[in-house]
Amino acid sequence: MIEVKDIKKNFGLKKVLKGVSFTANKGEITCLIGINGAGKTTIMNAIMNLTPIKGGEILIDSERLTKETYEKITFIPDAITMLPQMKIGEALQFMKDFYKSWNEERAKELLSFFRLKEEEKISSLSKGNTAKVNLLLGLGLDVDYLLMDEPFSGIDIFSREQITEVFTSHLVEDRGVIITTHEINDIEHLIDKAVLLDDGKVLREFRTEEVRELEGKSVVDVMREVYQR
Amino acid sequence: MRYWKVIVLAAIVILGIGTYYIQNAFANSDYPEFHLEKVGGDEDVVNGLTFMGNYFDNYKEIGENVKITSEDTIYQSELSYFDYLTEVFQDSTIRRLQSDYRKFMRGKNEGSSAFFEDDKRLIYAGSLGIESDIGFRIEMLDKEVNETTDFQVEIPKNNINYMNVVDVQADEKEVIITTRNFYTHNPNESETEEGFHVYRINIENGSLIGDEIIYENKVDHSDKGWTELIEVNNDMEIGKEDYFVFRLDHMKEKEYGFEADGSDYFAYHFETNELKEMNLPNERLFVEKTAYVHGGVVYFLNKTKSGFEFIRYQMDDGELNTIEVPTTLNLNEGNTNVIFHDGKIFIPNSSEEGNNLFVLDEKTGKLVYEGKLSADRELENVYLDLNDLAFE
Amino acid sequence: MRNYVKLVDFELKRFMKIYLTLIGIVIISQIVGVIVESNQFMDMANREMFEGSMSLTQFLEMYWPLTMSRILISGWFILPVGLSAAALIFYCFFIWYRDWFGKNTFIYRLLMLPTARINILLAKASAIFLMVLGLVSIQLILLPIENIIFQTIVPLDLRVDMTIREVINSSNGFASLQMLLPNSLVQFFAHYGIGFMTVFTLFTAILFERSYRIKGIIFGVVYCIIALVIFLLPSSLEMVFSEFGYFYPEELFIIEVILGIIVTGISIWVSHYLLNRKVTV
Repeated sequence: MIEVKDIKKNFGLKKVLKGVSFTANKGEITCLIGINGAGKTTIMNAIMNLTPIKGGEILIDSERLTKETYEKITFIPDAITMLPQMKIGEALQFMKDFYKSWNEERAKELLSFFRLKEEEKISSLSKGNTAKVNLLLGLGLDVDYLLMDEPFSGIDIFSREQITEVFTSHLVEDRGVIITTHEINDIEHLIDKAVLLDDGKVLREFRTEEVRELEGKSVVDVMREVYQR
Repeated sequence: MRYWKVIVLAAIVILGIGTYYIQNAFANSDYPEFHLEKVGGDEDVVNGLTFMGNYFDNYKEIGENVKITSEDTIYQSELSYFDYLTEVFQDSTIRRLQSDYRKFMRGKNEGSSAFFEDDKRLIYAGSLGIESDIGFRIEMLDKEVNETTDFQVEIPKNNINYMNVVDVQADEKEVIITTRNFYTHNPNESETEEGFHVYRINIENGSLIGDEIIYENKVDHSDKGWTELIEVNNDMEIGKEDYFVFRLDHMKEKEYGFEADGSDYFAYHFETNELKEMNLPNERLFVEKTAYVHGGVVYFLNKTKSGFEFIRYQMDDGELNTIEVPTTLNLNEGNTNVIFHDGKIFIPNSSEEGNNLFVLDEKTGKLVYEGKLSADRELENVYLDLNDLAFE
Repeated sequence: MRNYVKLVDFELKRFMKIYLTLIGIVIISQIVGVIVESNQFMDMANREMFEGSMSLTQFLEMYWPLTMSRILISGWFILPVGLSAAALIFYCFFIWYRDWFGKNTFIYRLLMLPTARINILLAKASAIFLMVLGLVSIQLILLPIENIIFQTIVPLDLRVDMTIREVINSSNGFASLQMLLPNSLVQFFAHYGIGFMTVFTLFTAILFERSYRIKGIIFGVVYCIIALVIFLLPSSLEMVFSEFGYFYPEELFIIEVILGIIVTGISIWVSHYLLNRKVTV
């Protein structure tokens, strides 16, 4: 379980996170929802220790993040984390070189699923394909937790469908996923938990199944309720 | 191959740099070895003699400090770094003092003119600077008990702009500091004044007991010429001297710029506080002449047809006599820097023609040794300039 | 350790094209330089002695025999070496900033590697260091080759041969060679130790900037000043107490070695802290 406890963060005088808390479970997809500037990306960075926080605590399976944790949790930001001059094959080799948890078989499987070729240079890829490579770099690791920042933004419809397909497949099963988005439509049916953010605060954290069954509302209904109050 | 970049680059580095330094360590010297070769006289007198100088290779445009001992020729660039640091090819007197009295010499950067040494004591007198307090810091090392006493003395400011300690003498009661002072009496005037001062300081209570201007010179630069004070006493000698000797050069405009056309020599007697103008014949040879002061005598060295001559001026009685020194080797027109050691006068002489050494008996003026530095190879466009001698 | 070596290899790979280009420029320019300069000298000798009826002795008296150290002061030698030096100094900054800027966000990947983050810094510093030493070595390997070319073009009568050490020590040859390749090995380590210290201090300043951005620039500059003050402590103390030359040179050397190690150590420690706790993507 990833536990985010009361984290705070300022950019200069601006408070971007004003005490954010939520949890994300293994085997579930947790979605951080909020407009741009709500602090979603900052939360992701903070979980990965890519930016310092001012207060609060983040625990991953009850422990603080260490260098070994990066074998267990990975982050797919909205831009690719490899050098543009590298070929896809080189990027995969890089991952293999540094991560014990790199699963070469799965990477190959994804490569053919996405119809990507190892010889292709990253800089020459389309936006959709770049996003797929980025996803591949994360999914190729045998990690327990996967963080994804806006995986659908600015991508063509077919790539979107492919990526969505991955979520329902065995590739994501059993993992804990935290995903951020400002467009819920594509993945509403996939998510187990939603965290609604605004202005650096959590407005509501709920299980989608519960609201659907008990209140008969969709995630979008809840969002409408919360944000348009 | 994995990591080939690291491996290849490391290999190149080891091959290139490693080989260079290993080769350097085992390679023969690039420079000649010099040996003092006897031409005549008694070899014993040069036992332990070390030459210090500069080595130049004109074509290769290489300049090196070099030290030539009886066993070895040591070039600065071939020393290990630690030896290089300790050797710093400086004034042999200071080097000797630093190695014998390391603690006392710490932080004393002045040349040997700020020191006085006799059997029992080593005395240092340094200027305090001229900003706030003007005066001296005096430190005395008692060699027997290895104890240092120190004190400061203030002196009247008297418009002094700048002060240089040129000589330190001492007896049982007082330290005598000779300085060369520069002053402006009137800041609006362009002319400056310089003068030799003698300060006497009581050792017992550290008080200033004498402040004497022994000579003053107005440095009035005009189109026609000016006058200039020059110390004659040897810096490197820090033992007892009865006299402080200096000269006044009269600079005149000549065909090719300014040149001295006369030099007056003066000797100041420390004990009697008396300044005498030396009575030298009005000869061209004394003009701007390098002279050596030792044991109450001023020596002028002069080249002759058969060798050279030493003109000795006895300061007590003003007696002038000339010792002819017939030699086998030529005294070259080049650098000579005489030292006095153990009752003998050592005269190294270097020029592009070669490097010679003459040793005279101080009393008799007889030539007791003659030698030349010979190299282990033929030298072409190479020049060795000897500038210091020392016994080690 | 393994990860460190992998990272060094990776950092080298990222600059390899430019680095090889620099080496290529140095080699080509210097070899062309020897040929051009030697031939120019020979042309002059032919002109003076055959057309101008000068004797060999007169010619040598007037123009002096040619040496490697005289060839070495031409722009053919200094410019490519200067270019390489400038490129590597520039790369000390770029090696960090290229991970943050541009469309890719490689810094995410670097910071998320399952290895101590200080390895990233050590690898970058080592890469720069290896490249500097590599260039110096190439120059050392090149000198004897150039010497052979020089000897083939200029006959014995008109030249004076010098050993590599003499070429480096010559006051005429570009003085930077003496700095890059001092006479003694100890001095070599001293020079490159200072280089190492400077690179680590600079990296720390860059990490300050990367951690605190605008404020970080001030921290970085202040840090550099502090590092400089510590390193120059003996001289500063002498200045404060007007006790110039208090330390004997060999003492000063030992003190400086210790202070250099301290400054380098503090830099690595502060960098370690910044990378783990303060740096932001």
